[in-house]
Amino acid sequence: MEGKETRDVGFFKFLSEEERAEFARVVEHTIFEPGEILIEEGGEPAGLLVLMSGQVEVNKRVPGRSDRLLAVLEPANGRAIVGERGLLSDSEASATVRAKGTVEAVKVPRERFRAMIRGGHPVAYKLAYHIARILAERVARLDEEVVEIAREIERRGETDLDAFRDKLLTEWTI
Amino acid sequence: MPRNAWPLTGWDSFTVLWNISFRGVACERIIFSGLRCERGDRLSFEDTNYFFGRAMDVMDVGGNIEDLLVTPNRSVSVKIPLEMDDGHIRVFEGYRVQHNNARGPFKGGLRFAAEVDLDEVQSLASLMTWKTALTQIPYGGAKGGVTVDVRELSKGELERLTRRFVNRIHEFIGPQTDIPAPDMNTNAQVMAWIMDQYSTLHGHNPAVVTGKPLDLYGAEGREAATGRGAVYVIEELLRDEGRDIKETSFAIQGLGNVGFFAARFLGALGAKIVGVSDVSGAVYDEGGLPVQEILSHVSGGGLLEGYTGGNAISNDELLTLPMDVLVPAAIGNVINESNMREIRASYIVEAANSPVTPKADEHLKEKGVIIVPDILANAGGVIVSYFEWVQNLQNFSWKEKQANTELHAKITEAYHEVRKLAKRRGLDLRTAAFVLAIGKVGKATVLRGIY
Repeated sequence: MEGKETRDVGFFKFLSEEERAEFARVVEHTIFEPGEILIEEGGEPAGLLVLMSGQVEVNKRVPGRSDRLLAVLEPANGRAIVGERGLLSDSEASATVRAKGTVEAVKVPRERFRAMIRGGHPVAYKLAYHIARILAERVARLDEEVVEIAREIERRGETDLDAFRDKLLTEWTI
Repeated sequence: MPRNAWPLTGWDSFTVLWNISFRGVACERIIFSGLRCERGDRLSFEDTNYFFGRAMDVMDVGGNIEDLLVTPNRSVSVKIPLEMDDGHIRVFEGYRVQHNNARGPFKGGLRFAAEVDLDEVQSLASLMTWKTALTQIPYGGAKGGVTVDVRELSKGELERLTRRFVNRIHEFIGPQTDIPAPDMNTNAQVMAWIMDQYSTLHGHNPAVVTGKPLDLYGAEGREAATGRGAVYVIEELLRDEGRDIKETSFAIQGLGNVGFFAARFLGALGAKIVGVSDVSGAVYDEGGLPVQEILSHVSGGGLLEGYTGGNAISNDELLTLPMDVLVPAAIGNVINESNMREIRASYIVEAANSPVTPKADEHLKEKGVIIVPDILANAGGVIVSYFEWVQNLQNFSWKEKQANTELHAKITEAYHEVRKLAKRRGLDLRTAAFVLAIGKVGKATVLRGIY
C-alpha cells in the first residue's frame, strides 16, 4: 500500500506524516468480498484491520441459539477498526467479523507489529497507546452496561411489592 | 358556651351544636336559622395528591405503588330520597369513600354541605389515611358526605336524612369496618342518630361512630382535642426552635372549635396572641390581645364583630401581620398564590385542613417558613375519637385527664418522629410527615400482601 493511501485513512491521523509513511511499509491493503470473513471467532488473532469503506457485521456465537449480532461497523460511524484486541494480546478472536458488502481495509499484521515493538519503534508504541485508549473507553462503557445488566437481573423476578418492601426496610427505615 | 363563629367547618359546627344540645338551646337557632354556614375553598383530590406525590418522589417509589396507595379502596355513592315536611320528595346524593384500610378499620368524618362531591370526599378520605398512620392509631382513612345545604332542612328533615343515609351505607360501616365521625355541619346529635339507626339494623353498638354526645357514649376531652393537640405540637415546635412561648407572637385565624381552644390553651401558657379572627372580622394588638376576654365575648354565641378592644383589621390582613406563628384554624386554601408573598410569619401551624395550597407551600418552603402540616397539627381530633372508640369497645370511660395525657403522648411522639426524619433527610415537615405515613401504610400493605 502506498504511503499516500495510509495518510488518507482517518484512523491514522494521530500519527505524523513521517510515522504514517513508516507504517505504510508494513500495512497490507485488502479487499473483502461480500460475505467474506475478516476474523473468525475462536481463530488465531491475525492483526488489526482498519476499515476504509464498506460495512462489516460482528457476530458472537451463543450456545444453543443462533448467532447474536453485536454490531455493524463502518468508517462513516466512527467505528473503523476490528481485531485490535488480538493485535495486543494472545487471546483468540472473541467474535466473527463478516463483510456485508465489498469491504476495503488496511491490515496491520500482528507479527509485523510485534516485530516493530520488539525493535523499539516509537510508531508501534504510539499505535499501541492509541489502541489502549480505545480499549479503556470501551471497558468503561462495558462497566456501565454490566452494572445496568446486574440491576436488570436483580429486578427480574422481584415484584413491585418486593421492591417497595426492600425500600421501606432499607432506605426508609425510620 | 356556644360560639357563633362562622364559617362553620369541621368541628366548628360540631362544637356549636354539641354545646347547645347540652345547654338545652335549640339547635335550629344556629344551624337552621338562616345564618350562613359557609365552607372553605373546595379541597381537591389533586391538591392532596400533590403533597403525597412529592413524598413519593422523595422515596423514589415506582408508579405502580403510587397508584396502589393513592387509589381509594371503595367509593360508595348513594341516592337518599327524603320526604320533606311539606310532603314533597327530594333526592340527595351521598358518598362514603373508604380510602385505605391496611392499618385498620376505615375512619373519617361525615359532612353535610352543598358543595360536597366525590372528588372532595376522596381527597379528605386520603388525608385521613395519612393522618391515622402518622399518629399511629389503628385505623385507615375514610370520609363521607351528603350534598345538602343544611340551612334548608328542619331538624326533623335532618334526622330523617341522616337515618336514611345510614340505611343506604350500613352494610359498609361498622365498629370493625368503618367508623364515621362529625365533620362540617354534622354534630354530636347527628352521630347519636347514626348510632341509633345502625343499632336498629345491627343491634346495640356505640363503637360504630365517634363524636357522640357525652350522655350517649361520648368521650371526655373530645371537644377540645383538636385545639389542644395543635397547642401540644406548638409547644414542642417552640422548644425545638429554642423559643420561649411567652416571647412568641401568635395570630389565630378562626375562632370555631379548633381556633377557640387553641387560643384558650395558648393564652393559658402565656403566649402573646396579637391577632384573632372569625368570619365577622379580625382584631390586632401588637402588644398582645386579652385572649380570655375575647373568648368570653364570643363564647356566648356572639361574633368577634362586637368586640371593642384591639384594632379592627380585615380577615386578609390578619394572615399577613408581623408575627412569629400563624395558626390557620378555619377553612382551606386561605394561604394561596394571592397572599403567599406577604406572609410574614416564621411558622405556620395548620390547625385547619389544607389551609396552604401547593403553590403557596412551595413558595413558603423556599422562603424558609416552617409549616407544621395538617395531618400532624390537627390530628388531635381523630386521636381522641380513637380513645372514644376504645372506651366504647371496652364498655368503659376515661376521665378527661387521661384522654389529655394519652393525646399528648401520641401527638408529640408523631411530631418528634416527623422532626427527626426531616432533619436527617433535609426534608420539610410536610414531606417528612407524608413519608412517615406512607411508610407505615406501605409496611402494612406489604405484610398483608397483594394477590
